[in-house]
Amino acid sequence: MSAAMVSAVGQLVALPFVLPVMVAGVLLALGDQRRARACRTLSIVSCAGLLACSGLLLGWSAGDAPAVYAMGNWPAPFGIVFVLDRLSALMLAVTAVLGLACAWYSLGGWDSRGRHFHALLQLQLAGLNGAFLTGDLFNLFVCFELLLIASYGLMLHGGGVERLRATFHYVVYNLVASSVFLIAAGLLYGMTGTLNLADLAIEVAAAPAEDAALLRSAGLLLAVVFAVKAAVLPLAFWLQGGYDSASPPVACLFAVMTKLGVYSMIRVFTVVFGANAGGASDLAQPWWLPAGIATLLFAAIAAASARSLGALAAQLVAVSAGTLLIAVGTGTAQGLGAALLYLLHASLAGALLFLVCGEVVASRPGAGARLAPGPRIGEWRTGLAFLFAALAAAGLPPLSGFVAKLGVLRAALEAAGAAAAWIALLGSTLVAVIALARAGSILFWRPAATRSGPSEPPSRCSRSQPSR
Amino acid sequence: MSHFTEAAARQTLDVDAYVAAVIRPPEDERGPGIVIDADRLRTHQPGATVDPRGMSL
Repeated sequence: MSAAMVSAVGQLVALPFVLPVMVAGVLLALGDQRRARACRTLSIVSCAGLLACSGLLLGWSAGDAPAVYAMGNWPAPFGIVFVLDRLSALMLAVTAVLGLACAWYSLGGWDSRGRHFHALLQLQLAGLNGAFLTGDLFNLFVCFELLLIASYGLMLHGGGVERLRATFHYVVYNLVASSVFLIAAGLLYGMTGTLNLADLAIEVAAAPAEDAALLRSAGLLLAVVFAVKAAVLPLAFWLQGGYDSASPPVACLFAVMTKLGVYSMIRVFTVVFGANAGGASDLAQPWWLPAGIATLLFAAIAAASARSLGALAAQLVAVSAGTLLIAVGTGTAQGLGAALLYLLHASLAGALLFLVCGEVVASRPGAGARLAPGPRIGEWRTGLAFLFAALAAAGLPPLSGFVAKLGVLRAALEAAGAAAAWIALLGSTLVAVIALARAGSILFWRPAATRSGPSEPPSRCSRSQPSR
Repeated sequence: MSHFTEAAARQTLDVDAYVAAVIRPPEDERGPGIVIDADRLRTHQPGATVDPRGMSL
């Protein structure tokens, strides 16, 4: 690659953050009520551009060393840097796919249920992309806040009491988590004088022994923050209400939100608190595997008892978070590789299941996505999409989730607590298959004669169905 | 894709390469290196940094 081309592609590293921020500003200036068509077009073009850009960056990231983009050409640790490696490029690509799917699906009427949907979507994408790219702990915090502010608006989009209640829980959880994040960042800055992740790796490794306790405290506070984002037990109770009550395109995009928590765990606890971190080395590593097993088992039980397809999809997102933690908790390159493959697969599968949920709501007036007798869905494409999404979400062959789960199982063999991890992984897969089969049976196959059940109030989703 | 994710995992675990890429950019991309006078930088004096072409920033 020529020097000029390297320089041109180098500028692209910042584009996944800069483009949606600029588009969000234009969308807000346009106003989505008078120029709805222009706003929709601009949002779709921006998402398509992000997808193309992330594809280029994914190809470019296959080089040996991470690419570094220094804002204003100020070198690290003095300036703000974006770091592009394979992991961040993969996350950018997943986010771009989900962003385009969200924007496209919202054109069915969901985006006009409230104001500034597309502007909020672009801000959310900017926050997510910035978080995946940043090489700085403080900017990770800033990007978290950016995406959270946008997500509060998106979660409320469409209104309603249930959404308001779920959003309130979500906001409280995340405000507390953000405060803890800020305290942890302050502690680290006070101890080391830097928040650049690479510089922190050097400073933490060289820290005197008397500072180790404070550094470990800061690291564990960060672990708690990322556990909230990743919906790890016992910090996962915001997840079901939030995802179930959000509109389907928003829930589709939120499928990557818990993955951001796992990404942050991987990044921070590998670079800063990894094996070479002196007194703070391998700080959270012993916690990931048991936390993953507990999350997986709890989410599987919750999935089996879900009363709506949205709640089931939300719990399957938590199942994927638990599976990822188990894979990361093995602490091996093989486990991490399987985790990344599973992360890619689970994000897309979860998002698809939420979109299918939207179609189910549209096809069952009065019953919505509630797993109870109601009008049978006659649309064969919705049934086929559900079958595909269910196979993907459960991690069954022939889809890639099966290969990824096999990889996680193989990596878990070498970990302490392998038997518990295997039981949790296989047991949760079996429960997920049963729960999805039950949902499919109720929604698509139950004969009309058995549909005369007791009258029940319509589900949350049915009240939020857009006019088509 | 699994080859890519395995390579991504190995790269993610290679902390030394990450630190070297961020803190010490390769010379062929950055030129001979940016000179930073930390004292001038702290007191906001001109000439705190000098870019590879020798221009005072």
